[in-house]
Amino acid sequence: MTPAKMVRGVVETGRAAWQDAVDRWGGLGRIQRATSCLLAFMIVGGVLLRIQGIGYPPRNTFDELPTAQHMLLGVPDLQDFHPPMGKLLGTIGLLLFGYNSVGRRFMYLCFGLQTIIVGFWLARQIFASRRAAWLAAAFMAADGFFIAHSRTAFIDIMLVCFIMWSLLAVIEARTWRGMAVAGILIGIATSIKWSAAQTLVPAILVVLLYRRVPWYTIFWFGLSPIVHFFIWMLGLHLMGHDSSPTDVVNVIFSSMHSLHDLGRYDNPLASAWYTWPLLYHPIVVKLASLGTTSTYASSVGNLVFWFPAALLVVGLPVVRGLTAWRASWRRYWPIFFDASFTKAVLVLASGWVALQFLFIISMGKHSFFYHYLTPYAFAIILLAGVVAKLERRWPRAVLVFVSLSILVALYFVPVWGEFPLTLAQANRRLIFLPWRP
Amino acid sequence: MASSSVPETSPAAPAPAAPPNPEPVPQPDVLPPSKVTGEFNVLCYTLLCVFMVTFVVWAIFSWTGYGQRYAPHADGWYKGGTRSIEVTLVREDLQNLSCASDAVFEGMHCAFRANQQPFDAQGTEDRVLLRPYYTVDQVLFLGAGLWGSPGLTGQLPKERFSVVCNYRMVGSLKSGSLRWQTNGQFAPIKDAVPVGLLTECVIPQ
Repeated sequence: MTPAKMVRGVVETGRAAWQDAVDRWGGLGRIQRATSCLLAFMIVGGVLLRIQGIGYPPRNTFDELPTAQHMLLGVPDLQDFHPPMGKLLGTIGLLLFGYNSVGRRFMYLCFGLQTIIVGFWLARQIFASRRAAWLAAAFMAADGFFIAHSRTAFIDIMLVCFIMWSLLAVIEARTWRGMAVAGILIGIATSIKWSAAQTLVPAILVVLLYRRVPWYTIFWFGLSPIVHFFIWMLGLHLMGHDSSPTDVVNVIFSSMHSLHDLGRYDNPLASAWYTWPLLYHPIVVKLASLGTTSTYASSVGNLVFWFPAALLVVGLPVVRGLTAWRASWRRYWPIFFDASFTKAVLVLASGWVALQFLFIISMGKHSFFYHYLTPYAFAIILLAGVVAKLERRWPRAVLVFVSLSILVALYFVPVWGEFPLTLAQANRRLIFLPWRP
Repeated sequence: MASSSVPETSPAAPAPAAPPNPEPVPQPDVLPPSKVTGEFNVLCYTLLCVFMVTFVVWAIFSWTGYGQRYAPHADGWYKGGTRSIEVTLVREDLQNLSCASDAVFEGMHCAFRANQQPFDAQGTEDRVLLRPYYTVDQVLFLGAGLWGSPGLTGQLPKERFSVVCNYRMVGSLKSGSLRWQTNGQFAPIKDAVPVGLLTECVIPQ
């Protein structure tokens, strides 16, 4: 694709999208229009909430390690065990704004904004539904888990973005070239955090279920470790380390060993994987004192999305399995869900499980609430698909659901978007002790 | 966005008769085949999306001057960069402030090694002896050359006083420990600390 063709494609897509939106608006019912307005409010609000006051506090908080700065400074960064891609991307902000809090958080904010866009695309393609796409974008925009991580210099928000891009690439693939692109994207995601390698599970499932490409094209995913290796070499080279293939292998093994070692030590912020869907111990990822008030960026999600999303991502595959089990039950599933929807459910649920698998088996005491960010993205997209389906039959109920989610979001906004709060005000929102810093 | 997905339900399939419904009937929510096809679209749009979002946010921040609000913390805080620095001191800080590390930066090093033994038995010249300081805006850094600077060679004030210097950053120390009192304990540093040379130091009048 030439640049001119790509720009033409974007312009054409934009024009078609606008025309499509106008046509669709005319076809919507009164209640669906009201819901659409609320979704737009959620998206705009989510974007503004992410951007406002991003530079405060000027110092690093929590795990905002100055790793990106190290890349730029050309000094060793051997106490950080993650692959270098997230830090390499983070340095772009430092190059644009300099060595300050805006520069440090800039790229993470950009990727936080992109989760809304990628969530839209992924839901649109996997459910073949515009409504599901808008719902997914709005849900991701108005969820505190994503808002807090968009405002913090954590590589996890980049990880979410690239994992969703990877899955989107697999869904879009029609020949080996598309699969190669997907392999490269998985390689990039894995170069942010190794846990992204688990994306291979839903990716392979997409290939096998959708059958848009021959099954043997999954071998193109073999590109991902090669891409990962070259990104490590680049990272080490930029940091001023030896970057020969042998050095890279040594650093990778050393980092893996160190990361595994961390699992032996207690950490008061750690939480077991099975507590994540229960919202037991969300971490306040940014905290700053302003004298009598403090600002908080809490990972508490939007309660209206959180529990239904977890319930659906676990419940729907179970229900599907049960309905397939007995002949007399088998007819019930197709009444509500078509084959396309079933595949989407299986892919998203498998992604949700797979991306927690590493933390289930091997991370010991080194698993934290923010490791749930990517699985939650899968769950929330599934929720959007289900809500879009329900809306056709019960638009009024969906309007109530969306309204409720906005009310909850408005209540929690101060502890997601770092508004100055007294301790009492903060505690009224961070209700439970494990929610508080 | 381009869509090249193949819907499970064919748009060409005959639709069942719609039941009577007072609400306007929503259009079938099935995506038509995209006009823009090609598998590399996803990668291209990925890159384009990264670029556009980054550009738009950068443009907003630059236009509103938002980045500049935090700029005072930025100037010169990079390897090779030089910035003006203000610190407040007391005379005793010449003996009080000390660090311990094996790292050497362009000949500059701490008074003690990582094992807290003296780095140089004969003593170290001030121009290469690193000491920890906090700027007036609370940025921790290691600097050498402050006390030997011509502006501080005379009688120093008995009270706490300010010193303004030019600071050229030569690197960053990740592993080391600091001491703020002669008889105090060394405490390990938590984050990387800028290391550099302090020159043209003066006590502002």
